[in-house]
Amino acid sequence: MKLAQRKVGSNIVLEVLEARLGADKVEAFKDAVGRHLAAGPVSIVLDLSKVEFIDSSGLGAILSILKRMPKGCELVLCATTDPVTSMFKLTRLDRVFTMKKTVDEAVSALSL
Amino acid sequence: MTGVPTPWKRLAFEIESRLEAVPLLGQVACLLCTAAGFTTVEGSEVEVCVVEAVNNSIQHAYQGDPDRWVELEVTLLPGQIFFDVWDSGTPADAARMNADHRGALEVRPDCVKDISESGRGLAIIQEVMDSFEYTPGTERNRFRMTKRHAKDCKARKKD
Repeated sequence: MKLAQRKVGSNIVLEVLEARLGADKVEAFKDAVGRHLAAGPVSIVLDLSKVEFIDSSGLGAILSILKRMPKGCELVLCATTDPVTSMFKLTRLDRVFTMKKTVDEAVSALSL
Repeated sequence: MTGVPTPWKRLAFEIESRLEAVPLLGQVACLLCTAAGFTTVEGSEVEVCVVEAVNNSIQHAYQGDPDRWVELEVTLLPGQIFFDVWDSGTPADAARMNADHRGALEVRPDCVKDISESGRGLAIIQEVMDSFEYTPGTERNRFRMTKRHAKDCKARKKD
């Protein structure tokens, strides 16, 4: 699972560098993001701009990350492509996640 | 149905029962959808449905055994497409498979811990497809999904 990371203040922006987040990738994805959570309390912006496909396994994996967020830390999703946005809406999970159009908006949402 | 390449009425594709092979079948389904005149959005949604159905075969019918097969059979008909996913694994409970799954999409944003991380695949299929039917067999199991053109659905509703 390829993730690009950069620190913004005390928070982390993780960019998913995979075009597909499906059943064959979810364990690697959860492990990769989980390593950042294991390092200490941190809020995460998940940049999904390169993900063109997501299925129920991928949605479940992002939900599992949300559930693992330490108290006081946030997970914000951003820059979802049309097919990915469509799946979040179809499954009503857009009501569960904080979703922003850009990385900058997501980072701003964290600092508020 | 606009855009249907007339020599192609029925196509079949087979993969080994490995999750990493599933995207190929999804992409084929998406391509055939758009070639048959469906929108790119519809094609993308159908791709997800095919992937969900094939994942079910691999993860449940075969319990992850990578040395079996899954077949996607696509039948192009005027105004609609059938996507049949075939496997030869352990049959699922047909009543459960063919039930109403829309409840799996109900979420309470204020109770994140209670939201299930799995179990949305059939609900997604039910939302996107016009119909679906699971038919277990003694040798092969079939999961049929039907996608109809929106204009044909409207025409039928007027009738």
